[in-house]
Amino acid sequence: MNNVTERSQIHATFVIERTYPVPVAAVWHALSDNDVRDQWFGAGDAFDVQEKSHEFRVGGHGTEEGQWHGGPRSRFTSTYTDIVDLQRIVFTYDMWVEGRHLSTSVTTIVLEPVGDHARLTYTEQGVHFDGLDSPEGREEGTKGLLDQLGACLISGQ
Amino acid sequence: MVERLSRGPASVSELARPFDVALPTIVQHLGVLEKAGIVTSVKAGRIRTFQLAPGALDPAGEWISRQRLPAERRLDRLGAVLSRTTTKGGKA
Repeated sequence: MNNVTERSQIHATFVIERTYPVPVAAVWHALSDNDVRDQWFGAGDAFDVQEKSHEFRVGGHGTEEGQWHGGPRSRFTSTYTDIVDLQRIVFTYDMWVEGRHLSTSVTTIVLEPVGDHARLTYTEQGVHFDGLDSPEGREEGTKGLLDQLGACLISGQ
Repeated sequence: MVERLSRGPASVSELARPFDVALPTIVQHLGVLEKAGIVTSVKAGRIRTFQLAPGALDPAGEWISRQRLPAERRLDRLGAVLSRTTTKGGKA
């Protein structure tokens, strides 16, 4: 692991669509308000946060650094590059695991009304470095997210 | 877990061993991996054995679905928060 790193880069784009049964304004609030955002964006209980910030404005930064329980340290930093009220959010973000640079991505979130519901289209274009993305880091991330999802669903009953 | 499976098939309890997490959480996680086509499972008696799906580690197909997964979970969680904060006595 600590020998000479074999360099590689994989480019990937993916698109996720969700329609939420709430008005666009409610989704916008959940994306932009720090208190509501904390309820779904964070990595969850399996992750000890050591540094965290989020500033929702063009040029504003977000950071989240900490450690997965029994797992690696990870660091997320982001910068908003474009915000059109109630319509579009663009940010770039970087991921590090154990001090190694995992990826750089551009994420575009577009909101559209569909009747009185909101359609969210999430497009991520990224470059993923040195084959680091396959093992535990992403697995731990997914696990934490699932825990959080479960907790959210239960408390929402 | 995927790394463990890259060394060969394993049961749920074998896969859970390195993690300090309840077994149902592991099962749920494996369910998501299975749905995403990353792993497959067979049940023999009471033991369910998981293995990597053929071609699961091909860079092209599965790799992207693995990138998608955290973002998808996050957006589903957003949906859960939205339905909790905006439906009070309304439709679920």
